[in-house]
Amino acid sequence: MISCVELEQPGKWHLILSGVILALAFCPNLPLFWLLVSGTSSFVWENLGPGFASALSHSLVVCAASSAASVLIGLPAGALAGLYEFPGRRMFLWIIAIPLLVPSFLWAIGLSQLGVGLSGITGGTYAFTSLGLPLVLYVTFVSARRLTKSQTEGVRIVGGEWLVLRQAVRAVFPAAFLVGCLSGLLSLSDPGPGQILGFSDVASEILVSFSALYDFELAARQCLVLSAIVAFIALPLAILIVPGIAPRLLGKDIEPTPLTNNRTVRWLGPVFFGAIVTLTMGLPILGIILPMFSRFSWELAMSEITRTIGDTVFYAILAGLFATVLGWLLAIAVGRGRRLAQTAVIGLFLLLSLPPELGALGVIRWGTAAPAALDFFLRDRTVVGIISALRFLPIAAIIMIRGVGTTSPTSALAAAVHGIPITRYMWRVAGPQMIPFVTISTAIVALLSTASVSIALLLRPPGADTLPIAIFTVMANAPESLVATLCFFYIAGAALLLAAGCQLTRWSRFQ
Amino acid sequence: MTLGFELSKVTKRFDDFTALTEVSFSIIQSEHLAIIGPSGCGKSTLLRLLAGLDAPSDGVILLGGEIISEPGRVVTPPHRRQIGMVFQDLGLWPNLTAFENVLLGLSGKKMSRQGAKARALEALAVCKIEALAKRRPALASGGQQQRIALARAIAAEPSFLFFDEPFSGLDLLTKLKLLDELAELAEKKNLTMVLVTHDPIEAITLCRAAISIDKGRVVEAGCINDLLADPKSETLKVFRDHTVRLGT
Repeated sequence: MISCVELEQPGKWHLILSGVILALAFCPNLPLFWLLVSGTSSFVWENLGPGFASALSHSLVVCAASSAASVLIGLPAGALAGLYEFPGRRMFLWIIAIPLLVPSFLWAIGLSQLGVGLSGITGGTYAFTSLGLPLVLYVTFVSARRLTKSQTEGVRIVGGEWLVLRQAVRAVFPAAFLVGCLSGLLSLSDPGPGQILGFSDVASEILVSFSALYDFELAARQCLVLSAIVAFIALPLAILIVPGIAPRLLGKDIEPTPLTNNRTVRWLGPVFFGAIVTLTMGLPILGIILPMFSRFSWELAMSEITRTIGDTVFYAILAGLFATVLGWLLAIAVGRGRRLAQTAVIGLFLLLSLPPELGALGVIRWGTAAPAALDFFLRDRTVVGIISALRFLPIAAIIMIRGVGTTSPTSALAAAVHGIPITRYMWRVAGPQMIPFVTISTAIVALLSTASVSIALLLRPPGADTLPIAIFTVMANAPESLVATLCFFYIAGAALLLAAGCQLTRWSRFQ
Repeated sequence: MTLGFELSKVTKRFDDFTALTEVSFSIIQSEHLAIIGPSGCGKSTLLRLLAGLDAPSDGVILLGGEIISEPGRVVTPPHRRQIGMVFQDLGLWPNLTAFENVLLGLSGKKMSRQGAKARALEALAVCKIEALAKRRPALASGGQQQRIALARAIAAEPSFLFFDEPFSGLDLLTKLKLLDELAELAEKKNLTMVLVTHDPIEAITLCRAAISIDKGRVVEAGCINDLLADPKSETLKVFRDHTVRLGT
């Protein structure tokens, strides 16, 4: 019988299990790296296609500009919401999550249909800022809520409200900067806005090379160059900033600083958040729904939705569950080891930074090289869910590591003293305590994997489309009203799921 | 006089840090022993070694003359050491009621479901918290939570009860009341108790023997009154001086 004490004691198994899970998550990326190592592809700039260099420069400009804008707006907004009470605060925090849960190209469709000149690199920066800003805002908000009552009150006594805000922004800046950079890196591998807003970017180049030119080698080369650039940016960030942030995941729940009522913030907060919501979401959504007023394509939309809903839900749930199970295992393996947590989070950050096309093309490579007997897996719907799960494992793992970190370390030790079998302990004590985290992780990964089109676009078997892919593929030829109706349904569905999730977590807090 | 635990030159290292250095002492059955010392001196590490939650780096631990822990290895796991333990943060399972906490604590024992239920109810009654049986720990007061943890620890009828500073968060009145009841319970059940504390008041109220630890080494050991008469450790010296000043 394995004793529950093993859960809380340092041992080699922690390291081995963490290593195995991270290696598994990196696995789909290996075939393309193998191309590089084995020297079957020659890497000269001319071999990357005629437009690759300019596409890369466009992508890097959008990446830098959207990261900077996300941090500049998201950081003060997150700090305000984390420290002060103002009318509509909860509602704003809820609404701002919506862009994270819908495909980026929907936002680009909205902007393109507004007809206010938001196209090209400017439009791309606008669209990606709408997606990066909520990430920075949430991380800043959570970090600000981790400041303790005594920390803020101490500063308030010394220098008043302005100093509290300044010190809070300073304290949460590393996390906000890291996530801002991450959102920029994620924009590099997102083909949606570039294709719709009419500027060539590197992710679109990869997609075109594979799907339109049917040149796997070219797509692989382009993807490897993109990965190298991403790694070049992500590695120093991971080594310099992540170690300082990772241990906070393991900390127990603290009494957060109480929200302050400040006369200026009472009007500034709603104005600031109202402007953010209007500019980042209101305008794109307006652009999306405008064509619906000319004609509401209910029947056509419903037929598209019923055609794709089964596969969409299948991929989403498989990705959510698989990522959560792996994330939980990783969280158990990491335990409360500070060094192991730092290493694991660095690995997870790098994993999330890598373009999803890298793993998807890797699986395609396996599919072509593997015997036909493996087609049941490598060319099946299951592989879409599993590769999406591995793609979003970092999100699930961080939620689960946080979940395990909030439980008492003596809980398992008490079980060990009483000789409770580890399976029984997990079933009766650890499992139920983790239900909120499991639910949140599964839901978030499910929604993120649905919103991210790259993997499903490259790996889905013929006819097994998701709703975002259906929109992505029909938007060039279908009537605007149909695209608008489909987009509207998607956003409404994501908003409803988000609302349900918020209610569920609120409810679980009272249990 | 039956021998309980015996430590022989026990050392515990964590990487470069040595928490305990060549600690040797014995715990006689039915004895109430306090392990006193300032924060970070190695008291809790010592209790974890006794409980089998950790293995010593050097030296051996014996129970009834048999080796139960040796360097780098726990020979006898915690649940076979006839111990009950109340942790510093109590280690209650927050999703279970008081009754379920006690009942699950018995699931490692070979007994019928009905027998376990009866035993759990009896333990709650002994700790005077039958009324809280259906309440989750978060909805109980600090003192009540201590009682739930105590009920869980005594339900399996251990021979040894270990306390890792569980009373440090309580107000003085609640603490003294609990300590008195605990002393009475230990007497009635013939329990051997080991109390880790930095508070000499707890030690005096509950125990007759004490060992004082500082920087991972045993500074002094013996009857607690004798130790207070001529203290060598800083903790007991400060305590003695204060009580003299207060005229108690």
